[in-house]
Amino acid sequence: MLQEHKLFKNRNKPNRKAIIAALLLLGVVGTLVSLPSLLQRLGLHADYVGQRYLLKDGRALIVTTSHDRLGPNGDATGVFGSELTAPYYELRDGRVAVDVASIQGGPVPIDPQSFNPLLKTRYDDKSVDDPVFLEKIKNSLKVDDVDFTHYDIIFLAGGWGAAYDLGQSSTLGRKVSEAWAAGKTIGGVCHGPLGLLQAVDEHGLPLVKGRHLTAVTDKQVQELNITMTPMHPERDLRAAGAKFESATAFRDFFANHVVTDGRLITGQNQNAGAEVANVMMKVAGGVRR
Amino acid sequence: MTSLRSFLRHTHVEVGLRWSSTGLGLVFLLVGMGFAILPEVLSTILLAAEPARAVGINSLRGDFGGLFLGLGFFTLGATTAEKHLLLWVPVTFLALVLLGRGLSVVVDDLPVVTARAMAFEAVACAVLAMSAWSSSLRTGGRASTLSTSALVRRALVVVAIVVIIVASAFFAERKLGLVLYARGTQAMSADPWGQLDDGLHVALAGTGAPMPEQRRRGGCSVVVAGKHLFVVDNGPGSTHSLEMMRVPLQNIDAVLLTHLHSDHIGGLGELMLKAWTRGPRLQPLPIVGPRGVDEVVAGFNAAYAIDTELRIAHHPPILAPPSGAGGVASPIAAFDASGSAVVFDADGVKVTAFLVDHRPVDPAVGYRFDYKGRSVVISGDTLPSEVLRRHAQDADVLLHEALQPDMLDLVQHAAIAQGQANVAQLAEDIRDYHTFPEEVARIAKEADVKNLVFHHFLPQVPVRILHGAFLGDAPDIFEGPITMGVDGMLFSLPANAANVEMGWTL
Repeated sequence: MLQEHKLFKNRNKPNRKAIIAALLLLGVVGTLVSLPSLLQRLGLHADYVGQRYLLKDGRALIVTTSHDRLGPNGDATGVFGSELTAPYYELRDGRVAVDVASIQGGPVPIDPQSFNPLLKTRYDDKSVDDPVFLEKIKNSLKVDDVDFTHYDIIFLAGGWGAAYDLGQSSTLGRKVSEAWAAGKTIGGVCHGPLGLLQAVDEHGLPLVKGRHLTAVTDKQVQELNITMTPMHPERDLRAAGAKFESATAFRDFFANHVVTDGRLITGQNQNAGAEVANVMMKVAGGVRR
Repeated sequence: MTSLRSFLRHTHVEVGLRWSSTGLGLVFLLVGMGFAILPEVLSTILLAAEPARAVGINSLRGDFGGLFLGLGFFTLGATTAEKHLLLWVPVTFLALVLLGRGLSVVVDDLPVVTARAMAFEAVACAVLAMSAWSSSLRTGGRASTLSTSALVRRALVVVAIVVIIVASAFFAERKLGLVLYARGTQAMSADPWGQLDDGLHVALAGTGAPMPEQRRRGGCSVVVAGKHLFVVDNGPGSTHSLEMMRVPLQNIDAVLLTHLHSDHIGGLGELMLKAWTRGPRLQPLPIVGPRGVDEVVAGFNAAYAIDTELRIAHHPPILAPPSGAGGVASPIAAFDASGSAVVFDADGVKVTAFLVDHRPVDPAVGYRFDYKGRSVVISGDTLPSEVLRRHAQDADVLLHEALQPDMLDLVQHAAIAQGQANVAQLAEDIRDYHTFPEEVARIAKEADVKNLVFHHFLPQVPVRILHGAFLGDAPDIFEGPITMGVDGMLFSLPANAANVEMGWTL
């Protein structure tokens, strides 16, 4: 009661400190609230506004890493969330039946950083409440057990984990080669195109040799200071003879670029998932939706 | 304000208002008794509403009867006993009723047939409020000469009279019923469709999909083009809708089926029977549809064969001429390179069927109606379809089906949580042969459609508040008018004009 009286008495003397604190709090909250949309305006996970496609009776396989540790400290990593969820939901909205496979099979490690509120996409938000999706990433198929030629679309998702096992897997290389030979549409984003390194085309030549493609740039890897991974997409794909293309921004994290070379469709980084998925449906014979 | 004040101070104004209030009190009393005695009739006359089953009737008798009797008691109590303060009770209630109705006009996409009732309530509210004010100015807040016990005595007398009237009305139920029925049958035999202006008209007789909905029967639309009448699809229950909408079934030129799923053909047996005996029809009802329609019609004819024989045996040819029973199928034989086939072309009315993508239902079609510069396109069930996009070019009205994927996902997730594998599978399977609302909006935008009407909803959309969730980004994509179809809506496109008028037939 006494305290209430005090408060009442002080009502006419505005407390300057309290007002400054309130304004500061307001500023911090306002910045935090508007930051995700600010980042999106800069180019991070910009909404895909291009033509969407559907592929009736289509089937797609999203391939992810099984590697969940980064660098000497053993920080958690894996597939970058949106590089799995964006193509998953765009393909699903395109009436494509989507399966998820990983190098080892079983639980797919998702980079916890990518579910940070500032980086999370609407696809990620949707995925956490979706029992069908959660089941698919809890019990992902093992690449060795999957016949890639049963799918119209093979999508290689990236994330730092992919630098440890996609380019190193001869099985994945063989499976991608089979799908290519069967005329399927193949692509990926970010570190995903590393999975093309061991694949060959119908003439037995390295699939990436002489082909136009994109993947995460050396500049982005350096800007984010994650250079300890065993492979770097730009460096290693160029070395294998790919005609590497990319866009740039003051930070490449905000850049976006998609390359279509026949049935090979690649996206530069995490911003390209939705677009690459739609272009793949188009190339695989889809119709506008 | 001061002039109103001085105006209300006049003795004759005060007396006039008091008499008006007394009149209103009597009206309230009568309406209250009306609702207590004949809730269905009063709701039709005063509210243009159909009480929904037993619950509706119960609350009409109880809530509406009680409300109006209460309004009557307080108003009459105030005016006869000069207790003007009591008048603020009905004023408050009428203001609240107006508030609720106003909210409904804003929120619900229902026909504003209650406008007259609202006007009456607004006037009544104003009269009572002015009367209360004027009395207070006159008496200057002096106590009334009538004691409270006298007021209670009067109230008891009024209650007794009301009880006697209500009770005797129930004793005269039979007589009352016959009088009302005579008026009802006269109204039902009128022909509102004959009075439509020359032009193209499309009415929604069924906007539902397979899942049951209170305000939607199985898929069915009526198209009037000049002197010709077509029914497009005829889902379960929709024949009754057609009859309630007083569609002249004897005049149907043809029933046009988009495809042969149950939710589009379930009413056919009933429609063939009603169209035959309503006319009477001397030729069987023509039923146009994609390949397989002959099997469907033969099946319905077989199912109704016994009934047909019995009716021919019972009724003379003026009612049931043997030559007109049943239906005759007319499969759409050939589609041209653009995927279309003209199925009717006479008197300036052209009906074109075009192929859509509802695989594995194949073929499935949509229809385009052209008459005197106006056009209506009906999608049938389909995925986003290039053929439809071409045929919908510049259409005045596009009726399109829609499936809302996010809502369907919720259905699926709930089914998974409940362990209903079959429902979860259904939710998965139907995604790949329907169109999402945003996709419909893009089609309508690219085809320069003028008005977009959704008319086949998956999953159910039982109430207005769900419309925003159902449409999603569609209103941002298609900038023209978007209507969520409900059974009974009528869109009229006058010949050689550009306007579209919306009305109601139910």
